[in-house]
Amino acid sequence: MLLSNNNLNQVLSSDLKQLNGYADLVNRFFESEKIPELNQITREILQTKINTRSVVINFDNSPVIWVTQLFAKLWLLAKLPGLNVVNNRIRFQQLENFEFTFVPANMNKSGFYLRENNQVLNILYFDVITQRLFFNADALAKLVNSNPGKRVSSDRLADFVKHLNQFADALLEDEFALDLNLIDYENDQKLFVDKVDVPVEVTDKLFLTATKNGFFIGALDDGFQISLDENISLFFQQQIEASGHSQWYFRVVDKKNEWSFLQVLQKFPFISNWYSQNISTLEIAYRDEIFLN
Amino acid sequence: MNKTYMQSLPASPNLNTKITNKIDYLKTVLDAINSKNYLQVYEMIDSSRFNRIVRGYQYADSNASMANLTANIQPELAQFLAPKLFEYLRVNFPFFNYKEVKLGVYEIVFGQWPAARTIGILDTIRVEFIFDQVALEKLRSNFEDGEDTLNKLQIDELKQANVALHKNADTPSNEEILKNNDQIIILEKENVLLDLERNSILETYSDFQDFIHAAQKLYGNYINSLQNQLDVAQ
Repeated sequence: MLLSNNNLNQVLSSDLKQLNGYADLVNRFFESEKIPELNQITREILQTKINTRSVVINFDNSPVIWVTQLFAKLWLLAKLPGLNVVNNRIRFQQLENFEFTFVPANMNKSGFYLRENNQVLNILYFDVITQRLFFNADALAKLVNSNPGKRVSSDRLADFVKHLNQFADALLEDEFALDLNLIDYENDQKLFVDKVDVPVEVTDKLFLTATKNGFFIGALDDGFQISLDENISLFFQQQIEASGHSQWYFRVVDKKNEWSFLQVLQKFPFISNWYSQNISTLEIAYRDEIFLN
Repeated sequence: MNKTYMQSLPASPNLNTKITNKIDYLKTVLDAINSKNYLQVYEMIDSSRFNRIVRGYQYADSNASMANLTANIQPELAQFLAPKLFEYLRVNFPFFNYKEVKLGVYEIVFGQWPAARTIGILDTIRVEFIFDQVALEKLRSNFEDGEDTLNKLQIDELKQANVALHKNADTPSNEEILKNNDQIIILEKENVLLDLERNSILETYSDFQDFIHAAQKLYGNYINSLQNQLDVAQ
């Protein structure tokens, strides 16, 4: 059947309108210098469905590309160095042994995991649609405790953690919900253990391992303080909940306010060994509804 | 008749003197406390000991009859004397901490680490450590026998039992192994505590005997330090 001029015109007009609109979004994406605006454009791109009848769109337009591009661009807008993207694979200068890609989260979530490819660890959840950035405590602890993780110098890890914090701070401009947990280096940050009540065997093991490794562990009224060096202390304390249970938490305090629990786990193997050997008791609370399948 | 008798008898000079002496004694103690003259307080509450140990008198009369007047205020007196004594102890026995378990009664806690042992009572009036002899004996053994020796046999036996349980895979042994592990932790903890105590003492004293000797001479040394402070102040 021959198309009438009128019909052809309508189809082409509709297709061109869609393509022009899309081209405009893409153009605005690359030109945008403002985080909330950039996120909004990305949301529109991700929600755009191109349904052309006269032409076949012949390029990869997967959401992973746009999320990767968005992440890299946000990194730049936050004035952070050291991130490279090649074929949607992300590398951070400070963690040269690791390679990351974004993978879509579960079916009912609109965000993406940033996954370390070799260790298969989803270290964060990034969702521009619902404006959420959550870090995965379990995966981060495993990452720094892996063989390549142990080879990362503490200075480089400190830089990386600092950059992630600055990246998260930048997203506050667009009212993102954040869960920094292990990478939060604020001295007053309390990292709560997921479960209540820690058995005395577990704290006894902490006492033994700290002492045997030559670190001073002091008793507090509500827990313990380990002096890791003259500038850094790890606190493991409890507060009594209304239910009568003890809610334990970690706190890292240092004079320059730049040490996170993640860095402590990487720098002090006796702590990470104790933490991982008693993980069923000590695991830090995080958004497990996001990260557990 | 009786009424006249009761009204007319004056207090005997002897009774008068005795009461006056007691009043003077208590007033002197009160003045010493108010002026924070710890040295004088210690002299007033046991002059015989003070004279023997501090002044070196071979024989010194007891003032127990007067000092007994303070019997009812011992807890408050102990609490008053404690902070000044703690200042001295922080320098000379820096590894000890003190926990007031009731008014004027102080337990001696060894160290600031978790599960630190309570090893006796500090008598702030007599300026004496009253050690728990069992706790002290364990510490002495650690000095004589070396690190990690206490409980070693028991720990080794439990570890060997765990190895055997691991090997015998047919036996449901997990519960037994966990029980053994808990017991090992308890025994190792005791060893670590004693090692920490020993190392702390060695930071201040050359050996266990040196430490015990200093503990036994606490009263004399402390009173002398109060005297020295007074001399410097004057």
